[in-house]
Amino acid sequence: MNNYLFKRLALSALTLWLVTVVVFVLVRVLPGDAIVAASAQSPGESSLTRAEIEAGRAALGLDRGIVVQYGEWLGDLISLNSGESFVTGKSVWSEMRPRLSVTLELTLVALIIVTVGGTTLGILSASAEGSRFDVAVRSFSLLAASVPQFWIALFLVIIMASWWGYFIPVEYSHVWDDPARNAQQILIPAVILALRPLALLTRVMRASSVEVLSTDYIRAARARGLLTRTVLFRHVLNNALIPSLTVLAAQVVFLLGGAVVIESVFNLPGVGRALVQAISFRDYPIIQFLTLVIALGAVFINLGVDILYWAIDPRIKPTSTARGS
Amino acid sequence: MTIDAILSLPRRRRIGVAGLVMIALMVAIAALAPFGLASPLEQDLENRFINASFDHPFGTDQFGRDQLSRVVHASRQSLIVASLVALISGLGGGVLGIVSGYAGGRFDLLVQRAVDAVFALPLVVLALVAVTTYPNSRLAIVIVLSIGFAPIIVRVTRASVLSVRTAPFVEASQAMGAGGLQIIVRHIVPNVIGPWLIVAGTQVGVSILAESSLSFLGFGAPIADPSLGSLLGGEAQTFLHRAPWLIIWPGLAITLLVLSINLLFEGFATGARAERR
Repeated sequence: MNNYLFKRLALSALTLWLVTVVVFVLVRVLPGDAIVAASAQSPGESSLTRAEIEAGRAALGLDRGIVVQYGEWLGDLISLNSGESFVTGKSVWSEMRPRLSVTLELTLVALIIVTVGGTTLGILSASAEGSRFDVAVRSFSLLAASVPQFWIALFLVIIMASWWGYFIPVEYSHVWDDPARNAQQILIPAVILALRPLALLTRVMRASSVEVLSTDYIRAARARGLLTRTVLFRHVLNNALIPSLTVLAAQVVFLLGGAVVIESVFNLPGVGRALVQAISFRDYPIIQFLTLVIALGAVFINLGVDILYWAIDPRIKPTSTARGS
Repeated sequence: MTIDAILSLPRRRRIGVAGLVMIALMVAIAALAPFGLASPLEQDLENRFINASFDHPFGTDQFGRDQLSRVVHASRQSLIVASLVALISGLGGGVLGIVSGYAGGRFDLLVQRAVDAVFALPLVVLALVAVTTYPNSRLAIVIVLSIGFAPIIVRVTRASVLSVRTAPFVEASQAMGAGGLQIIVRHIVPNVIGPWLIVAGTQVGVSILAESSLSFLGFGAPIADPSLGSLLGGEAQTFLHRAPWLIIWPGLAITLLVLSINLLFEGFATGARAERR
């Protein structure tokens, strides 16, 4: 048991290390750097002399070798130091914490909608295979997987404004400041964000439930006179869960990506806008931090799902990450 | 299942046929776009913000440009980008998945870690870096999306390779002295092509959505040659309440394109499931 966990953890660490290398190289592929970007943002004000550019780079530590810079970043990460923003000079963590909380709230609410909705719709639809309800659920999931989320978002904004004269409050409030206002700002974006993953989870849940329902032990359970509800939500759910977990884990990564787009439509101050801004300012520490946080989330979710699989079915080996998505 | 049997699956399902017909129709419209439609760039300032009419079935935008022609031309770009992405990530991911699954050992372990790393990397970051480095370049978007979608294809292909690699008929031909390449071509490829086709094909729809999201945010599409997403982003949003038809048609085009692809592959998937039972 410990052997398995150890191996799996080591593999995750290896993956994370690869991510740090890729991110570090990636931000340095961007043309120009923070100094050039800053002077380009305020043209005509003062064009920097060569010496000033050199001095600015030295102040940010950009004049050192790339390996030294990487080493320092990695060292900081291990000692849980997020570094300072090139633009504001403040700690990356204190700058990004409020933004992370917005994106996290949006993603979590969406994830709850996806999990609860997808499992329920999938199982109910499978138990009534071929019925009108089933056809409706399948049509919904095909359609929801095909509609661009930002389009639905624009539509809802128009409809709510012209039919009901309702506008989502503009100034963002955190959930602990003004929950009612925050709910208005988060719920609609979260539902829209949830649509596509919800559609995918429903499909997978339905497909695997249909297979489980045709097995002998379910027929036996029914023959013993167990309530349909008991059979569905105890036996079928448990067995259809494994393929669904994989889909769910993969979707979390996409949820985070989709959050960037939805945040921009609804003007939410999440990590999406921060990321776009940091890239245009070449604010390396912020880009690296945000990317790593998202990647960390993805790796941990995959790790969690793998451990869960193994807990459910010990035959699964640690190195066989051979899972479709 | 042989490749012929797989290809005939959606034809035996109404849903697959519907998807196929829709795709054919839209590809034909996109291909014939340059003939008979007004230029998508021609401005007509006297006819700005016209709602649907005989001359302009989809209305006109803030410069009096014909929205129908803009939507058709943009769909063309979306289709081209998405097909290229599916082709590149499909072939690259397929080959990597087969080699990695067949070779096994350290090589496999390394490839899978790299795949995990790319999978964990948010695609948005990759895309933002690419479009900042090469502004207004569709090629950059194609490359980024291909890299971003390859991991899924590698995983699915590798998983199906693993399931046939130790099958008796493969071991038998190994025992008879068949080389690695021969086994891959003769035995492995025919057995993984079904799942591969379904994931790679589904990526066409996902790529259309991803590309339109990026161009909606203002990345990756040249201003003179917009994508469907760019028609919805930027200025169109300021006219949201004044000219809602500018929002309706491009979004509907994206939905129909993706829906037709999803219908086709739903046909494949239900066909394959029915076959298994």
